[in-house]
Amino acid sequence: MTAPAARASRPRRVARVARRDAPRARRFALLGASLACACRPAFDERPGLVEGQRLLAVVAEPAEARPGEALTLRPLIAAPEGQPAGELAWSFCQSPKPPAEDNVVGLACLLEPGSPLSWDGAVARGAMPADACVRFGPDPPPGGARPRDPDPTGGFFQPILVRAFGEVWAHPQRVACGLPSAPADVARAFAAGYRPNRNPAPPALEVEAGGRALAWDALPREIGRVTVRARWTADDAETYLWWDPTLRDLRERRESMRLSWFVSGGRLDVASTGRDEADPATESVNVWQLPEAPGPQTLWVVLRDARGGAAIAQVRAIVE
Amino acid sequence: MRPAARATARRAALAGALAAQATWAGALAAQGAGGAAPRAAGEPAAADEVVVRSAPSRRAPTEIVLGGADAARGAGTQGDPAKALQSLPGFGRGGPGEGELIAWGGAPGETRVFVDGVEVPALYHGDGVRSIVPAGLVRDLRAAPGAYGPEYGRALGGVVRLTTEGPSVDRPHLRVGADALDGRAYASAPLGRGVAVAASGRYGWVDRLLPALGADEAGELLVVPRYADWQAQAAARLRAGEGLRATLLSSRDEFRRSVGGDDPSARRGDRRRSSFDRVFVRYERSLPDGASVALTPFVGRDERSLEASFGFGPPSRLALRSLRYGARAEYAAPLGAQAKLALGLDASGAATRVERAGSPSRPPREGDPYAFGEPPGDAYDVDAYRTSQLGVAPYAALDLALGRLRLAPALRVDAYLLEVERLRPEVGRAPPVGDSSLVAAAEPRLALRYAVAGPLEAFAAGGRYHQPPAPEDLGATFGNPRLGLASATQLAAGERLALGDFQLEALGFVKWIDGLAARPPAASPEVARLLEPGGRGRAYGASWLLRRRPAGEWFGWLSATLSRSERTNAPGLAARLSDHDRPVVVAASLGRELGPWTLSARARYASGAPRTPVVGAFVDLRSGRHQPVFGAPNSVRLPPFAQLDLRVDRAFSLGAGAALRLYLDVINVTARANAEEIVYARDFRAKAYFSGLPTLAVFGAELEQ
Repeated sequence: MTAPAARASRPRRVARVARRDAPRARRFALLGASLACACRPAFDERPGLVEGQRLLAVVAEPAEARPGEALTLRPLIAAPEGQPAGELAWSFCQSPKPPAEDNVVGLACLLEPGSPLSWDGAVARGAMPADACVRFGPDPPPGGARPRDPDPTGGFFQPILVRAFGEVWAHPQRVACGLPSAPADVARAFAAGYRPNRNPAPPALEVEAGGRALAWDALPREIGRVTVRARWTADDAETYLWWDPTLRDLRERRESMRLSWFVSGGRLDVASTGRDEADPATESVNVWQLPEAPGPQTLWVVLRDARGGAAIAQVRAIVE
Repeated sequence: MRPAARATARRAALAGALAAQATWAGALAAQGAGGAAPRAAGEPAAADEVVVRSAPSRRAPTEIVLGGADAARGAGTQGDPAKALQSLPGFGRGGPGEGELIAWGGAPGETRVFVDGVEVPALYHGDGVRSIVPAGLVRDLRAAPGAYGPEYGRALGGVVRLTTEGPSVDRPHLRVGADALDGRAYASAPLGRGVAVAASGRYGWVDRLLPALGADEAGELLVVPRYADWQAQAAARLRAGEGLRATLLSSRDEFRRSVGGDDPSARRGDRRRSSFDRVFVRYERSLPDGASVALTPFVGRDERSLEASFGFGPPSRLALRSLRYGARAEYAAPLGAQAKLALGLDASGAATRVERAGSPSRPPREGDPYAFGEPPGDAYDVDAYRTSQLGVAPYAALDLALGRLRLAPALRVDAYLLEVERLRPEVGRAPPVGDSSLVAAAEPRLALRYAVAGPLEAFAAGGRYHQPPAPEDLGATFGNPRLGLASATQLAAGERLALGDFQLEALGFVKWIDGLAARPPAASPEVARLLEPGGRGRAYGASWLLRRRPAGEWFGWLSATLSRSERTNAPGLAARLSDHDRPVVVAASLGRELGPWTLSARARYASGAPRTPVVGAFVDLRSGRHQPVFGAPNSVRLPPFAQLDLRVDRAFSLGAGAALRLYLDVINVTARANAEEIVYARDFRAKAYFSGLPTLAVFGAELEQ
């Protein structure tokens, strides 16, 4: 989180706002109606551009941990050439968020010190809190309080905060819990048949232009725009048992896959792409407008499955 | 002066004041009735008149009456009388389409809308595009932003009533019209023997014009639905002073919007549907001794669904289907020369099926912090249940003339039968345990008028009001099945001065609300208590209305409201501004008839709506999106709203009783970019304003035979 005071002292970015539809602000139509658009401001933002030190993803092993199970968390830090990785402070959140709050963590979690994890400069280690299914899961909290709501995949998450570079990142770590609100036979079937989530393998990255494959270490900048393709395997999009709260029974679902794209220079068309769970395709593409200046560039792709697993691919490109 | 002479003078002054009021009311009714001679309250209908008198004999001092035709000729209304509400005192400016009814700083759900005494779920299609009753059918519009009378209840805020015009028994009538918003038709025919029928319908097409004009982004801010409504009426004169009228009202809205793009995780969809039907029969009889009887049973159905999707997640959904039924009855009789007694019954029931899925945070409630356009939280739950509410409210109202003082004490006792299917969320295969409770609420009401001198009248009104919980709040998963009645105490006092063709009214008001369903601040609320009845509210302010009598060439009014509206979510929490706090609202609506031309202009200024600022942000590594950290609730405000509207109307006589009317209604002629929402950059470090429609010019034609 950027604290309000810090925000105040930081030079505020000027809201460079374009009225996207200004040229068509007056149009005339049949029946004599002239209607101008309602104008949503468009910010001058470059999706996925890494301009400073930034935490792009955290890959946890295991991807879904039981309470008390050991966790290893490996961060992907993007930084311009030559910048050190810096120190990262890791902590488990202890305060759940109010049920009607949209954010992944509540304000109390952002303000509390939390329960720390160890950090050796490359990997953070800790154990999933033993009470994670009570604090953040479906097990009824003491005092008749309302259990937490699952996410759309039926999962529950123990938030882990990472503080670094003057910012705060929240990593929701999936925790394996039971189904206390389901009938006993369904809960038993779930416990027997549910396979905890596994991280996907890092996606393979290919680059092409005009249907012709290119080499990462020789991207001619006169091409301008190149298509970057990320491929994963069919096994990466796992199937899993899901408690359907509407039908009140178990169903099998397949994970959707989502990719976040980052570059150190140039411009990406979109910051994220992906495949819905009904879409069996195992690839996704993005378009990269190469920077005008020659030199080395880095492209990072984070592949995430619907249950919170992640994998990272990174490629060094030379723009000639 | 001798006592007898003073008494005579006082009576004369009172008679003068009341006559002035009656003259105004009559003139307004005449406007709405298309120029028919005004009829005093309680006066039997003429022998050749089939129109059933819908207007009650009593009128709350806070109520504003606009004749349908008078209201419709104002600029910015597109010929829709109900849109005149936007410039009446006591009513704050709602959202971009201004379809929200904000009465004395209250939430829109706290104000009820009635057509001929029968409650309907909404006054407008969509976000205020059109009202649900076409202009030609509206005889008058009566709006009380608070402190209303005992005939109505179940609303913590105000009451808005539309009275329809019955079919003519004199001759057939045909009216067709079209403009950029919709096409419409009305036909009525006398069938002889005092019976007449009418049918009308309207179909909207503006939802297809917006994308064609490249204004599809408007859908992100403004709900412009595909809408249709139709009405049918049959009226019969049974005997002199006795009439029967059957009415069908139907309305349909459908709104779909999807924001596509290459990023599937950012795709958004929004689908809203709403509809209602009402069938009611109004029987009315005026007895020779001055008494009158009215009875209005009704039955109908309401449907409403909201579905919003964002990215890969399943859509959030809220769907309600209700069977509505009820009846309204009143017997009123004079008690000597100085008093009148009314005994009535207002019964209304609803059996509702609620289905809900998605994040508990959506749709947002009053006071919820949110950043416009941001996705919902990833919590996902479902609930489905039935709930039933029946309210039966007998009331007695006395109207006493005591010299200069006219006193109207009343007592309404609203008894509610509240039923819910399930008290706790479903666990395992345990059968649901429901609840049924009977709650009674006494609602004393008082209105008084005092003829100070000549045309100056002072008045006051107040009372207790209750409102049952909304069906969607009674779920064990998303709400609280044990919510009870919320209550309000409202007081208003003011004065009214009639000076020739002008009337000046000044009014101060205050209201206190208790028992509002609100989100508890706890991070871990108890099971089935995601809402608690601990919300409180307070609103106070003053309003002024300078109005020209609706006769002659000039027409219009000037209104101003200064107010403050606060809410508290739970005891012990500090009060915050309500989402619907609008400290300053000023409107001027002025027009002039010049032969066949009618020119009118409307200027409005309103404080911007409060918003909760974003003071920081962090990154959710699972979604890769920044998430906002909010500051103090409702501690900043959107910039003020200002708008000028113009309307030109030209009537052409085509002979043989036919007439053509052409009109051009231009909203926001200065194309001022009024800020309607705050939009943030992805990382919340920059913000800008989403502005509303800069210009909307509606050209239309209407042919009448």
